[in-house]
Amino acid sequence: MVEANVQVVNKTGLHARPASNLAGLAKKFKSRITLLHEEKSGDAKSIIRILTLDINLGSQITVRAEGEDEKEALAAVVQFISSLSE
Amino acid sequence: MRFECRGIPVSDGIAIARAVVLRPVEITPDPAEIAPDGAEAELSRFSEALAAAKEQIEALVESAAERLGEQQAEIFRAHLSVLEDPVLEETIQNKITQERHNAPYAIAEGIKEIAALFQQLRDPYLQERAADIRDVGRRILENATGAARVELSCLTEDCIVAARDLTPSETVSMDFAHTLGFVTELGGRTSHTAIISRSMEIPAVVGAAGVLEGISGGETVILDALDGCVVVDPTAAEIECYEGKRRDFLRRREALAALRALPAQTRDGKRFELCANIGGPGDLAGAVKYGAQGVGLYRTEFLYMNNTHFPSEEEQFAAYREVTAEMGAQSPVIVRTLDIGGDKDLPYYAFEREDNPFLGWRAIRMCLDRRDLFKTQLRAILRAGVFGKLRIMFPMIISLEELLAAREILEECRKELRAEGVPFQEDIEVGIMVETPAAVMMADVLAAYVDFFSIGTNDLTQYTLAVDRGNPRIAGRYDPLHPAVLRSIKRVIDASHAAGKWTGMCGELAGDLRAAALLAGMGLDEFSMTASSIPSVKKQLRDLDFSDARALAERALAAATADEVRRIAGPRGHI
Repeated sequence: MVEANVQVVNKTGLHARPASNLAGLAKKFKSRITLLHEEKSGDAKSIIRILTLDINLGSQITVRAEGEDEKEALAAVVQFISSLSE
Repeated sequence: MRFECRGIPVSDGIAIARAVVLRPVEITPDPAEIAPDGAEAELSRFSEALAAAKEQIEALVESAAERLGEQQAEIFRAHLSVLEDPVLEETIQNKITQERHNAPYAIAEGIKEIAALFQQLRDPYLQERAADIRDVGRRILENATGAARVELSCLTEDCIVAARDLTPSETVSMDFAHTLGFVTELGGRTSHTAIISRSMEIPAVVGAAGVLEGISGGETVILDALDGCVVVDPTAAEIECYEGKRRDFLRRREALAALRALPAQTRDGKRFELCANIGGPGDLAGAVKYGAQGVGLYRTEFLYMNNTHFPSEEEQFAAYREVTAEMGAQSPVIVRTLDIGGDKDLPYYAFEREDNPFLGWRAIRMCLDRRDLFKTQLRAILRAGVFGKLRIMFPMIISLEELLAAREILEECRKELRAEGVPFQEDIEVGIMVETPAAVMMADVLAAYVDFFSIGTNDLTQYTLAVDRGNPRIAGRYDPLHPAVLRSIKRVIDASHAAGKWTGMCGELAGDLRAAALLAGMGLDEFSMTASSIPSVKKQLRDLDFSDARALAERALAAATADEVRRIAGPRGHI
């Protein structure tokens, strides 16, 4: 299992489109990818779980990946979240 | 029976028409348990309904893109990703296999559960996404049960649509030619009804709790989406009154639209330039819509703030090029160089804590110390200028030394670009933002070294009066109409004119209707403001005689107090 912290710098947090793109990205990996924000956690492959984590601009989240391609998955998801801007 | 109710006005206007109530047929699935061997059949019933819903939404994406634009299509794309969500599928499947519910009941319960998750969230935008979940759920349910949809696609007469809430699916198929207004019991500013009504310019009131108790369909309804008021079965006198209000509104809106093409010119022929303040390419649509002649302030700090790193020359070049190309060579864009520090922080750069950030290491002070960052930005601006007409503006200048240092770095960038053979805007104009008392007092000296001044009244007021406007205890003392501020403005304008230069204004005061006549009378050349304020200011200027405005300004400049200035300026102007 690998994990990393990332801050959301997107103005609107993780709303519909970014959440949908993130879920799409996560689905490309075999690993189980979990997002942790405050007390909540959820599967990054589910747009519903991502949205209901209540992530906003400035939110600190932890990304955790577990599985055969965990390193690649973690890097891709962290890169995606930290480069959001819309 | 007469009935009245209030809500949140989300799209301006007034409508008077008969009500049509959109009451979705309640689908109440039977909670009966399934037979011991029935799970397979229910699972396939669910997956068939899911597949059918997916096909329908895919068609809606296309229809929405065509009729309502990309933004609306995006909503249905989000619905598609909800349909494909593993959580939705698992939740409903579990209800069939473990709780032994039939497919429709499992769908209804699963959707209810997921929608409830959204309603607990803090972010109002996300809360309202519960409506999207219900919309998707309803569609799956209809496919599983064969229940009919209520369609508003063929209304035969003008009407006001009343509903508990409107789903994206309902609005996308709506006949807008006959829809004069919307009123819904649920929803807020970012609900789907609000978004679509604004984009179609249809008056709408949302969050009108209880409105459906007073409407059963067919009643005459007054929808006042200026004040957020709904009157059912109004009296004849009320109808007459609102007809008047409606005509006034339409006249005003038409007058504003007509104004768009007209110059900002007084009755006796003195012309002014009206420009928009923008934070990035996203604000350009508004600037164009309201007839801005250019951009008087492009706040580049958002490019830095909504980022994970200092934006590269290429990233900045792309943004500046988009703005300048969109505005065109006839509409100059003033790019303010990085104005950060003070109250504006960066997520990836820790500013040292300072006791007085507003008097500290910010704006040009930071840029002169961090030449690397400054040069990256200046090079990007110079290069983007080729695609239109850019002007550079340095913020927070207090001395000639700073201005000369900044100009020297700019010159260095020019030389480098020339040596590299990279095309750039040779004749770019350079100005400073006048927002410190020091720059005001030295304006006559500084004027010789700039092409223009732009007065930043927010900081100028704060620094001139030594009032922190973020401090509620003294917020009442923050007053841009204080004679000290007005006299500073006048001094700057006069200094620029004496040197054959011009002065603009990009603070809040430029869009303040109380100040338009005064500023015009003082000789301000350019007004830059939030785009939506442009028409009202233009109207005010067009109704003026410049000679009267000058006399008015003279009296205001002789005033002893801010109250006296306000009395001279007269009541807040209306159109």
